[in-house]
Amino acid sequence: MTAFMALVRKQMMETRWFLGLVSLAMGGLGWLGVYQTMRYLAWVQEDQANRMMARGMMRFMGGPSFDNSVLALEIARWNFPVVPLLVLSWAIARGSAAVSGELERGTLDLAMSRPMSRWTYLMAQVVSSLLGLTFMMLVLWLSNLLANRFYGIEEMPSALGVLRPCVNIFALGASVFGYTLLFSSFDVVRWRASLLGSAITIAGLVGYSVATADEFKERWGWLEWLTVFRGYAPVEAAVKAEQFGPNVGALCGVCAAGIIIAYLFFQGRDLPANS
Amino acid sequence: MIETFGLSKHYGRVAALSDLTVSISKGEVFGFLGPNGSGKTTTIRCLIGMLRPTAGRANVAGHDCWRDGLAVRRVVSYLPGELRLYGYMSGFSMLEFLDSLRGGGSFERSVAIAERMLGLDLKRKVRTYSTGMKQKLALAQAFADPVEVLILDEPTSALDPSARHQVLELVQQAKGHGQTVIFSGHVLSEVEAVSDRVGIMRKGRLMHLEDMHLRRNLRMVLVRFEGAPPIDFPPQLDVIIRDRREGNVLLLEHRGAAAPLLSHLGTLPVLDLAIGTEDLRTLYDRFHGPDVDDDTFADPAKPDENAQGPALIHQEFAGK
Repeated sequence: MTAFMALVRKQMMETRWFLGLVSLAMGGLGWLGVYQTMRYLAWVQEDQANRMMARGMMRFMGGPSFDNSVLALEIARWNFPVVPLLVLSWAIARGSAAVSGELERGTLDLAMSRPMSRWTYLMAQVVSSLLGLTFMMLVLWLSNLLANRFYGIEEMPSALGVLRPCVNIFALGASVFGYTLLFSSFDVVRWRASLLGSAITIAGLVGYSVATADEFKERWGWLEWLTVFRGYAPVEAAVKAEQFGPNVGALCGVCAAGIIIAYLFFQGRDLPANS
Repeated sequence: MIETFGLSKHYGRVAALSDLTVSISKGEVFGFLGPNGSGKTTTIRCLIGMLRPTAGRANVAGHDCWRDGLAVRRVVSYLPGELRLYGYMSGFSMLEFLDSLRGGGSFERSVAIAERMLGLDLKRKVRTYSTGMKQKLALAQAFADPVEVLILDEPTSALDPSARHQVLELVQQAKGHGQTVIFSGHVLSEVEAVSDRVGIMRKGRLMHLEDMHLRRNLRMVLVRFEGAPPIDFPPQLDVIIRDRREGNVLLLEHRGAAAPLLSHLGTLPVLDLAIGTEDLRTLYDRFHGPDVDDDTFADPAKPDENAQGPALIHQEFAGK
């Protein structure tokens, strides 16, 4: 086994409980989204008043691309069950652990004193973290498809239609992982990388909320372009997919930039003994 | 095999390592002594490419330690002083993982050393190991690695006496196989037992290089004279006057054959004579003993590889 594969395998082993728990939650939330949609569809059938109220509420939940289709209904619910939150927690946890976390607990010495380049080490961290993210999205995707079949939803979403929002959420997680990895690459303690990653993510979420609110849009609309949440649009990815490519491309670009800059920092930095 | 040229590492105003120039030959066991914070680990981390020198450079097997760190780590196996292993792995998995990071080939040997020599149960999880057992596991891997250089940072710090003895044997075996060993430690008797040369560090500076083979031929001669003792001795006797004491007593440091010195002393008015040796502790205490402070080494002399051995430092002391 190559050093790269050994390190990826070690990372997957080390995170298996966290990954398992998050993936289980993903599966549950994917299933819950379909179940809630089924109940919602039955509810709106009851009378016109319900229908009007529900449409307004669901449009609010699903954003401007919401078209009241079953697919849009199911994907819109991912925002409120905490699907993105799980992805972000994984991204920040893995990004901050990659360098400063290993350095802090003293295990970086084990790997970096062996004949392994810093690029190989960093890539093993990136690949294992993104593999975990991929696995989560796969579980979310499969749970949605299975739940649709289980409940016998009439207007059943296509596999591709559900896959696109999964890819969009993956890209969001990857972008957050990218910049958290960057902070991790030059720090010696994990908490600071984790704090910086979280702070930027939370600030981005608040900035995006302000920038897209009708009351502030005109003055603060530019804030939208400073956050990764500008590219987060799972409902749009599911129903229209016009912005799907640019959104995923931009988020993956943030991820790639984070990784490249992280490598440049990591390559040139000292690796002191843990203190 | 290992060369440093003016190697320095500063953290802001703090000099962790200053102007270290030393050369270690292939097959040599180099003992590295000094208290905590004296620069031993900083030197070692510069050698394996984990720290970028502020000034100077270091080469291992012809490779620059910072710019070509990967090539250096191919020929070096390093045992960290502060060891952290993955607790969820078994001893077997840990050795397999460490072996894989080197591309394989040493797993069977590391298992054999761990189980047969060091008596480890490799089926147990590492988290159930004591500190000493973890150290044994890492030592098994270090000694199994097919490398030219072994860097052991305090390798016996957590070991019981019998395991310490086995580690010293493994160091001797490594030397027998032509491996170069840097043995950093605080137990002077261990360093003394295995080292060909010893370097003593103080506050980031290499204060002294001692050839242990020459030192093993060293004898201390205490002579009481009837009347005033001689001012000096013929140079061919290789005698250094270490101390002049009250009562016409001289403490002499002597190497080489005893007969010429005894013959010479026979020509002098000697009242009494005692011959003994000096352990590494005495040498170490000259740099780190209770009577030593920063003023003692305000202007530390650079060690000279060609004039290594006690003579250089002893002459300095004689002049103080």
